[in-house]
Amino acid sequence: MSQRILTVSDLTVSFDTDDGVVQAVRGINGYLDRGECLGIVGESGSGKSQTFLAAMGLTSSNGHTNGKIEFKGQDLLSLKKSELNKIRGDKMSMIFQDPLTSLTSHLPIGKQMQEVLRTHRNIGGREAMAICLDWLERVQMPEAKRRLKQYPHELSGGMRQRIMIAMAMLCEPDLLIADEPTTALDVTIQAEILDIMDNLRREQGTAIALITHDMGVVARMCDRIQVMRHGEYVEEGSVEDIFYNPQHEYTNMLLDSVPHIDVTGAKPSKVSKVAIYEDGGRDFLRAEDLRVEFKVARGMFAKPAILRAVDGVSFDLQAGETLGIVGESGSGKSTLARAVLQLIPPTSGTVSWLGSPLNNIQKDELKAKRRDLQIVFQDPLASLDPSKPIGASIMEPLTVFESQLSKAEMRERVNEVMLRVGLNASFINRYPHELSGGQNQRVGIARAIITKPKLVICDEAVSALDVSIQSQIIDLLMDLQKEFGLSFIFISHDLSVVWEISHRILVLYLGTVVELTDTSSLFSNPQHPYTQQLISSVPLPDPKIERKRQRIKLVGEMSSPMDPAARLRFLPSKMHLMKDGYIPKLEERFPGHFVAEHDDISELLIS
Amino acid sequence: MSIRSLKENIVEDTFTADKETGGRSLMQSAALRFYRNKAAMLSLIILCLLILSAIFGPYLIPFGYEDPDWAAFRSPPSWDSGHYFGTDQNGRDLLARTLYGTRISLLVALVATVVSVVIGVSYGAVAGYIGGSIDQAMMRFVDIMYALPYILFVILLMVIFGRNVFLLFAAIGALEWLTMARIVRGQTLSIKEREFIEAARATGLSTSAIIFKHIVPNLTGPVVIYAALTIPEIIATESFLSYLGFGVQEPLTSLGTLIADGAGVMEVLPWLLFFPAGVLVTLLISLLFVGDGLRDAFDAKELKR
Repeated sequence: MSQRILTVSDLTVSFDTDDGVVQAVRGINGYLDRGECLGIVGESGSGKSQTFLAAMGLTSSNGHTNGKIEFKGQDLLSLKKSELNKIRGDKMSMIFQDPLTSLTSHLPIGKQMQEVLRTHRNIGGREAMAICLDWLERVQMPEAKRRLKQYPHELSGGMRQRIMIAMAMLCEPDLLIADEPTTALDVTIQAEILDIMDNLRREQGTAIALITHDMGVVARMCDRIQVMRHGEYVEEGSVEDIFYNPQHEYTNMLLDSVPHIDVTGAKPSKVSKVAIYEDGGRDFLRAEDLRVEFKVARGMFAKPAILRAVDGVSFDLQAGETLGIVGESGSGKSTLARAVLQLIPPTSGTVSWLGSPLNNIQKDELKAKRRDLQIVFQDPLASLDPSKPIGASIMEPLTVFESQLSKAEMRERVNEVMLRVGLNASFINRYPHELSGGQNQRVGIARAIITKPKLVICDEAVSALDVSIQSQIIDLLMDLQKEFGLSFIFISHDLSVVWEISHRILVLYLGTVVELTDTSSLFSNPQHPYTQQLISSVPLPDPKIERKRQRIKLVGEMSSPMDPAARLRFLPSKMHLMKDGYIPKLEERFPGHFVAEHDDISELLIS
Repeated sequence: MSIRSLKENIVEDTFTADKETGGRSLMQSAALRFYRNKAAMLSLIILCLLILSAIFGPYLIPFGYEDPDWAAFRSPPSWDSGHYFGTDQNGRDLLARTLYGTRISLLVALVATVVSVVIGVSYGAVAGYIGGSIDQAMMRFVDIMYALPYILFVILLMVIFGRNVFLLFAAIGALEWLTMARIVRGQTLSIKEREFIEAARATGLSTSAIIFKHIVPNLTGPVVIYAALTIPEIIATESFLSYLGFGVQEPLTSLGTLIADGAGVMEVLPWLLFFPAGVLVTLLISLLFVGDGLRDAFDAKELKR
């Protein structure tokens, strides 16, 4: 029954760079059978993508490959380009992380898909169209027929990834290589895409090589797992073996770093060890009915549309508390953070800090308050000035707020804070591009805490980092919180990270609060259908639990924040009040547990 | 716990890996790439030789640029007389005049380029960073200036200020900045969106501090490249203006004036055209290669990041 599709033996891939030869893949062996899903996990730079790029003949021009990759008896590495072209895209295809950049932007979807058929099957015209349409329907593309005429930029990220999968499947390949296929997508969309891939494997018997860093995705999808580190397989085995009986310490560490959400609410997350000061009271930070609207031009003469990025958000924060803000892309979580810090002026509403207002005050007054309000950004490299050594970046807040200090004193403070965040003091004159992502994020944190602020907003602060680094940074943040009594607003799209670090969680959907409560009741007793959908979509890094879970699917994709009907997506029964500007109210269902008004979930499920 | 120690090991790992490959700023890596570019390095050496000889050359040869040698009028280049480039109709040593002319041409280029960089960078960075209607107003002014024919402008300036050579070339620089301002504005718009600018705003830095501490230093690449490509343009402009008679006046000379004079007697005294033109062409070509090399060196950085 089992049929071998791919055999890799002694594969090495190396690259010539300015700094000498870099060994990306060091002699790996592996195989893939028909209808099997193989997970390749590892952190960035482990060489997991290079293995399969080599199989596709896509190694970049400064790379050298050695060894053997046998695909159904043919050695791919020794094939000529023209012969390889017959195989790739036909018998073997690949989907990439970013579906926007992997589609040609000037061709309609239908044309791009037809091209594949013309090249490999010599089918064109109507017949090809029919096949394309069939595949779009198989990947559950809504309104498939209309999509064929649309351009990639007109579609959402999830739809583009469906198209990529449909395109890859057009010639019914034996092997589908998926390189981080859902990393750029929101969890709810990720859940759908993974379902589609799983169905294809079952129905078509396509072998899938799933390259990912996400242990939850692996737990859900794969039969076998290979763990990769520094270009070598450190461990290999069935899903059960790897998750429940890992042998190698690196696998152990990887699994240990991933936050294991506990949906029963029985197991406390890490943050419960951090006490909240009660003395700060509710006046510490309070946002009331905060709104940020942008005008979006719609052509020369049309009235600009109004995009409500933040649509009436109220919350408060106590001293020493961490408030997690979760939401999918476009939910306005970053805008909310910036509006709180007055980096984007709110359209209306108030933010008050220790009882006095933050918005509509004089520039000088605001500047003085910035000392206590700091922010850590998502992309650690982009948030540091590339032309300055990191020491200068860390020192900058001191030159603004404590300019009376001498240069030597400032340097002393920089040294202290660098040690505190775990950076070697000898790095002071290094440039950001010379450090790793995790180290740069430590620099960003050092810069944020050097003036001893009271509130730090972390905007996706760990999202760009590998899991092991991620857990180190989270530990660091919590240590700092304990030591200095910091408050955090922790923004992330990743529920498991938010679960681990937050005392309370605020769920945002298109700029409005959907649910706000403490962490354990949010996960054990989610009230709002959207929260339930989100939680059920997060892949848990535990195959036994993960495969048994029931996923909640709600009607429709995420609507546009410019669409007035979007406010009532979870309250269709009140749709007739839309014209009056009806907004679902936030009600306190249990003490401290706020839920936005919604219809019963049974009305919203996809039947 | 082995897991804890492994985590620490990983941090150590990256530390040591960095020590082996690291230690280079972006500027240093650009310099390294420039160093590997043979054409650019050769041009840089030639350029340095030209600059050195323009600075020190006039002191090393026995003839002044305005003193006639009564023994040698219209003499062709020869080793014996010591007039290696020959003499002109007035018996002045052409080598001395060429060196002096090169000196003037380079000085003019330097003045004009510095003026254009200073105005262009501040103007473009301010317009780009502040944005909105101020940006619109500032850039429309640039557009209007662009639309004026610069020869007309130069003649106008000359009428107003009289014939002062350096003032004139400062004025050329004051026109050259237009392109610089546009390039800088474009770059600023993209830098402005990067997170480190937002980080600086969150720190409480003032607008001027953000522009001059965070935006301008990150413009170094494009500014250096464009300035290097502006220098030959200005030398050529100067030669053109001098050829037309607007530029440097006798007995002071520049490469352009020398070429203009030489062109008139090309048939009888060809060396009067040949040597200054040769020097000008060499100068321009090596400047262009250096500019190109700089662009490649800095662009590679952009690609790698």
